[in-house]
Amino acid sequence: MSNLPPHILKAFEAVVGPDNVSDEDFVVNCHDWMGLGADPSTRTLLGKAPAAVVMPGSTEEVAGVVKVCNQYKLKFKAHSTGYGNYSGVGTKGSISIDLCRMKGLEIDPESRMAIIQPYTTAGELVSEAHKHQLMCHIIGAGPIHSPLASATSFVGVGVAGNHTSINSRNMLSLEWVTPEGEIVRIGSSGSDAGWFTGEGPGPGFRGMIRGLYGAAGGLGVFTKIGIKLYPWAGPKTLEWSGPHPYRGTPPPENFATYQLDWDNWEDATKATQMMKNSKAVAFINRMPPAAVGHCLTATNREYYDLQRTGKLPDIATKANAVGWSVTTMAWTKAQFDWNEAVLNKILAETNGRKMDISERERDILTAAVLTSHYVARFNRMGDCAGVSMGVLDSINLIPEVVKRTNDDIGDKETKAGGKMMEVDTEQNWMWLSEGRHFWTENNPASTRSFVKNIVACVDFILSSFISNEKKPLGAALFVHGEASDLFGPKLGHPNKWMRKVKNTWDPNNLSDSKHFIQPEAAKESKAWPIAKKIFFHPWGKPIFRKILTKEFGKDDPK
Amino acid sequence: MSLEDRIHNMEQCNRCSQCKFVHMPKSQEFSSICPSKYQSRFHASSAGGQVISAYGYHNKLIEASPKMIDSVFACSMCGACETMCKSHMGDNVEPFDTILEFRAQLAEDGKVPETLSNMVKHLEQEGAPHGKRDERSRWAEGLDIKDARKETVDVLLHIGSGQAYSEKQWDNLRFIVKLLKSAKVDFGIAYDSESDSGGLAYEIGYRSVADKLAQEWADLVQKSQAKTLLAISAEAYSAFKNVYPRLNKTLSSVRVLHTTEYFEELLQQGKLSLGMKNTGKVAYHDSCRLGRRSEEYTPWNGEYIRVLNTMAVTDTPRKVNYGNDGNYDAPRQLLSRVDGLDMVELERTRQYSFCCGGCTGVKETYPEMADGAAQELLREAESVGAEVLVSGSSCCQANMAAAAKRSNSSVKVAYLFDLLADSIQEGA
Ligand SMILES: Cc1cc2nc3c(=O)[nH]c(=O)nc-3n(C[C@H](O)[C@H](O)[C@H](O)COP(=O)(O)OP(=O)(O)OC[C@H]3O[C@@H](n4cnc5c(N)ncnc54)[C@H](O)[C@@H]3O)c2cc1C
Ligand code: SF4
Ligand code: SF4
Repeated sequence: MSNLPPHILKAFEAVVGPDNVSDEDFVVNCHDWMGLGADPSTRTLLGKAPAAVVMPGSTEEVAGVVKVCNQYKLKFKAHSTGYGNYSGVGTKGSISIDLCRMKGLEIDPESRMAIIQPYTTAGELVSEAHKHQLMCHIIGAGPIHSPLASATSFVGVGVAGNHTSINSRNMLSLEWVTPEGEIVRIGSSGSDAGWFTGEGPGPGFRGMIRGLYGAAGGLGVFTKIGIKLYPWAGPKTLEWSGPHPYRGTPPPENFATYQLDWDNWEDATKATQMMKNSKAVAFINRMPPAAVGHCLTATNREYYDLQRTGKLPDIATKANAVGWSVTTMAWTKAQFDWNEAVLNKILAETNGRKMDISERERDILTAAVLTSHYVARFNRMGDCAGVSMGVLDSINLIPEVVKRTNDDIGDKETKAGGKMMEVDTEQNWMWLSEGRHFWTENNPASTRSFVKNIVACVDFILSSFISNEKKPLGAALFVHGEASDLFGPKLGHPNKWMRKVKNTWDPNNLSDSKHFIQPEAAKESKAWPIAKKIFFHPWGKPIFRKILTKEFGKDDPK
Repeated sequence: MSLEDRIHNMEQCNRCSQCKFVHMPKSQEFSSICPSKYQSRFHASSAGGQVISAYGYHNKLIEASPKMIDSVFACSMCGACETMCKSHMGDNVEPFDTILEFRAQLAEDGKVPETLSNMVKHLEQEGAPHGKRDERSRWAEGLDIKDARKETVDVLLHIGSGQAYSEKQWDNLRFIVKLLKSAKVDFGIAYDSESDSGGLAYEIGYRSVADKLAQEWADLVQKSQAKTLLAISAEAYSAFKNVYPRLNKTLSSVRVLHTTEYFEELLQQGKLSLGMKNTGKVAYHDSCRLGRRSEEYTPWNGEYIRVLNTMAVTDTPRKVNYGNDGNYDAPRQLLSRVDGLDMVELERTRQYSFCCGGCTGVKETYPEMADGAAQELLREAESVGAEVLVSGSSCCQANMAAAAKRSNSSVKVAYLFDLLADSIQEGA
């Protein structure tokens, strides 16, 4: 049980009703669980449990809860679906505002948009949008995350991005409970004119609330947004083939899915530009071969048996080191034929080819790009991962990014005997975004079960950031929390603006900002320019690893 | 197996929440799959939440408060979470197995709600969660059924406590007997020597009671020399296929079938012919005990090893259950034999079915939970235009029918064999 005085619990209960507040250990612990060890720790329970979980059912109740937090100077953090509890609660003893009672979903087909609340999941939005021949952007986290959380608070890149952009740009008008509990509507809903635009009346706000990467809980609670939807030429309900969990989606009428392959990324990039220019291909997605292997298999054992006996299908091996899974989409047979003809011409001109894939493989690749269902199998490979900087920039950078990530891990931890999962190729997950942009992050899987592995992960993360800092490779997006002050100066100082916004809207620093930005830069960040030179010098590395090992060893409950 | 043995699996839970949702929902309204989370809303009552609680409890980081005990035992053990978790996580997590061990630990520590522990006490004394042992076969009086304790039979019926003691259910038991007789099946029952399968005690967490009941029944089956064990109750059917292997009890001398499978077989073999007519739109609800929870369980006692530097795999191959091999087709085939019947499918079917919330003592202990889940199913049936919602489990039928009465639902709830009995045309 938390130490929250009964009168404060009563104050929350008065706002949301007694059934919707709990300070029981078993309840608050669930908001302390680190599902994917991206917040480096050997632990699953982080020891930062909130004092209570409060579940408001409306915007007014959210405002009421935030006001109680302000009254008693309690930190709080919004929680939509809490996928992976990726950014955790952040501060022990804060209030977790769990928005699972707020499931509003309204499709406005005329304006090609939806109005959603925090606990509408992407899977639900996809299904409802399809009924109106529309689809939403769906990020790699899969169908269970909250598109509202993604759009307002957390990156927003995703598998379908070539057709559906990025959630930071899909966000339209917005309803917001500020860190002090005021209800604000920004954009067209602010003047009761609907939810179709975020830019005015008044100033545009997307940059203001998102900073570099998303508000990550540090700027109050977002309760409703308009979100852009995109045309969908498929059926009102997706068909599924194959037994669970090998289910796939047969490409609907006038759709086709292929695994494309080139000899090198230079040719592949040229083809990518041509595919973009021609618009012959709607969805362009790259899962690294090992991840494809995990999508095609149900258990690690099944994957491993195929891998060690050389029986993995080609698309799950280095035979598919350079390539995209693509899906074309057309409204008519004529358009379908045109897509095919253009794609074949592009392949001919760039020395590309369609790999042989079985129907099952095709259907699973289609499901992965249309629903993002199987990306989460990445979690099966390892319970933690190194994450590179994450590049959102011009597609011209693809060859260089792959080369750099190959160099980053190629000679290190992903070979036999290393400390990250042994794989054939780099682990870049890439998907295209609108315009000429693509997103990639290099994610070698690992395990947090052993201190040495988590140390290797941290080393990998920091090394790849530093490499990007030394020789910039486009805008790095995973710069958040304390990292904003370490790496922000090389990225046009977003940290300065984020801090200004934070301090203006949240003068009492109550909206938990661990993953956004702290009101003041930490002392360590001032020492960082020198510290990094020492620790990341080849001579300094062993010392750095020793320090980390000691730190995580202390943390290790086993 | 114990909670200690499950630490690796617990630590693999990535809090993705897939265990709360169907694989790919057809609508937002019917996207939930966990009746317990659906009602309480706190993550703690989902499977992922129970895994975290089990981990905290095992590591002595949290205590079993009365609210935690309620949260754990308000779960209907429907197994949907396990099926859904395997959408991505393979056998890494298997939350249902952790829930089973968590309950066993809580039972050992004396942390079980009184209603449930009383049911188990009654099971120990009378072989049933309620009712007296010497009244178990009252339903069969005057039916002239062979006594499988004294005579050999081809088919041994297991009635189940729910139907044996509920007078309301006796008509359909008699109908089943009538069908068996008209198909000239050589069958018998164990009269008052039949006891509960042991499944209920196992799921509540009382391993030794479950073991004793299961052993008694397994011995009786063995002795009877029957070739087929015919389960009338979905719960017993599920226990024979899914719980007995966990208890190392073997029923290998018999084929275990549910009545829906057996009658469909008789009809296919032409040993039974039923002229059936009924009109109306009927939706079939896949009860979890007849569906995903009836998949045959194969014990595995290996370990996880690390390969490819870091990846955890089982050291030996094992059969993993995905919920695909439940009894889904036989009930539908039986219904499709009724002339004029217009079958519609619910949005959540087969291994993705939503549980009615009535099982494992939830109806008795947390009636509002069982009612809430059943109301959700009634709404689902209404949304697809069904007039009748049919269940192959009399326990689910009773729970959903009571809910329909409470909410004045336009949907009628029927037990499959009741509907078949009502459909038989004169002269058939
Ligand atoms: C395996 C894995 C894969 C992922 N893949 C991707 C990917 O491809 N692309 C991508 O962009 N992200 C990805 N993520 C990151 C993250 O899960 C997503 O961005 C997702 O949108 C978070 O949604 P959620 O509902 O889980 O949010 P939560 O976990 O509930 O919240 C995420 C953050 O947003 C804040 N927040 C949530 N709701 C609100 C609200 N209503 N108001 C204010 N703040 C709020 C929270 O405080 C938290 O800081 C991935 C994460 C994992 C673990
Ligand atoms: S139990 Fe499985 S499905 Fe549920 S949160 Fe954990 S990993 Fe996800
Ligand atoms: S067994 Fe059913 S009720 Fe219990 S946690 Fe799993 S899905 Fe929920």
